[in-house]
Amino acid sequence: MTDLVVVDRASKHFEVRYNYSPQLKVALLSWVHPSLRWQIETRTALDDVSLRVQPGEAVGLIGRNGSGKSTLLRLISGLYPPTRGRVQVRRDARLVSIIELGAGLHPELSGRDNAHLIASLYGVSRRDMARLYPSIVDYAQLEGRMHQPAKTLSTGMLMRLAFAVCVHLSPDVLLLDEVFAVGDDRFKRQCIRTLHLMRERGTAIVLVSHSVDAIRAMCTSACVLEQGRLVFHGGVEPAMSCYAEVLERTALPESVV
Amino acid sequence: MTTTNSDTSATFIDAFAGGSPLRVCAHAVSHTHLLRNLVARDLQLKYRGSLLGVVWSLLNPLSLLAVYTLAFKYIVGNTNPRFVLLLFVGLSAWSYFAAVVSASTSCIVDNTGLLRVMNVPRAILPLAVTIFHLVQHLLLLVIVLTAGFTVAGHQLLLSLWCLPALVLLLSVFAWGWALALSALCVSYRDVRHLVEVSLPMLFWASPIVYDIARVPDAIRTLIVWSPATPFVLGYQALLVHGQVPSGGAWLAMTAYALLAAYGGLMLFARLDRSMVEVL
Repeated sequence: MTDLVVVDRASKHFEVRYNYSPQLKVALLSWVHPSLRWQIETRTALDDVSLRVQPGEAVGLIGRNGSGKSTLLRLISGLYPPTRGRVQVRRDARLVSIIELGAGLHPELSGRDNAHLIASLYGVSRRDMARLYPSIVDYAQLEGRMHQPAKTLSTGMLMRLAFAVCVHLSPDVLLLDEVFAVGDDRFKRQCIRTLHLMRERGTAIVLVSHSVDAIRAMCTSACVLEQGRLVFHGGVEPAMSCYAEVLERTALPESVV
Repeated sequence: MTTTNSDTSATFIDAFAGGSPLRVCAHAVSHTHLLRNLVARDLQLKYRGSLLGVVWSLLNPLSLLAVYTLAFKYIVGNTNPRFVLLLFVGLSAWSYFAAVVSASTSCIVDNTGLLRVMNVPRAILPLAVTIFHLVQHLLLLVIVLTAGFTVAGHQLLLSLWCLPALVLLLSVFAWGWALALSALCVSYRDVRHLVEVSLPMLFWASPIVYDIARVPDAIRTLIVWSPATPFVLGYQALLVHGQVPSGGAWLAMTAYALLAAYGGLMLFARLDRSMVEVL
């Protein structure tokens, strides 16, 4: 079967800037005043990672904070280019991502306008959106709230709205970063059911989560990341024991307060 | 085996879709739904959908017209019978350019929330700003034309066919600046203030409230080569005197527009690679 996503030996270095002020004034003054010059330190967020995702596959990414899970997801979603290596997506595939809480919803716009804006970001026409809209509202269970500004909705509701829009766009690749952290149990069950259904229809899912349960419930395979390196890629259960080992390796600090 | 390889390269594209001038252009063309929604969103956020919004957008050039008419016709005593029309036409071109430049500078930075989480073709934002102000410019042009016909009569009609070309050149010119400044503002947030300071200087360096023929020779070159001058003169020739701008004027406008668009595209494409990281 053909791949949908190919990550080929990708590395990502970030420039961490100290004493940084994004201003022309500072940049010019730093010629005269070396104390104003900012220092740049390179941090390796992702180190030589390879991964292939096929249709109908759900890959869970698990690892400690700062292990590179979100960076990998952002590379696949195309937010920034890899420093080395290749991150590619099949040309005809529609890639939809919920990277952060709220997924870029505009706080001043109504739920309805936000839904339309997100859809148009993915190239969905107004006519198609008019057809999908009632189903989206129904799925998010936000009847009667869609005309209100997004800032008046709770975080859980915002996530429901973002998720509802994204799954209605019939994506070929769905990237999810900690979607279930804010939803209630009912919504979680609804998500899991939807994701299973989409996967059976051939959608590839890449899921970042700290929740071992969420990955067990949804994924067909899992990756364990540690300090930017992919240390394990395979079945869910072996991955979970690998993750447990990773956690063992880092002892708890002595002080408790 | 080789065929499989070439197949792979043909069906796969880099997840990161930015960083080259060609792609920047392609995005602008291919995302029409998004473009329409962004322009609609700007209109909505700015005016909350009220009809008064249109009036507000026209109020800025009209109030300037009132102030400069008072100052230069009645206080300084400019005796040119067509002074007010010259002023109005010049201001309409200028206010379009100035509005695009000042609004676009922060258009990337203002959408940080969206751009950090979604792979939006970023180059589309300055284009959306340009189109948003183009709509308002066209509305203003209707009023300008009405005034022009009242003052100058039907001689305007003969050369009116080249107005679309003039509007297009000015739009491309403003768009180029919008691209460059919006991308620069990500790395240097105080570009905004620099723009605020530079725009009035550029305004007075363009023959809008004064006649270029009366500029002393010593600073004449400065005024002639000032970026907005060919557009102001072109608008005035066409909409006040009913003349098709001269070949030299077309050449200057085209050169400025292409230069701005080229520079803007190259700069934007260059900064686009690290834009989301810096935001």
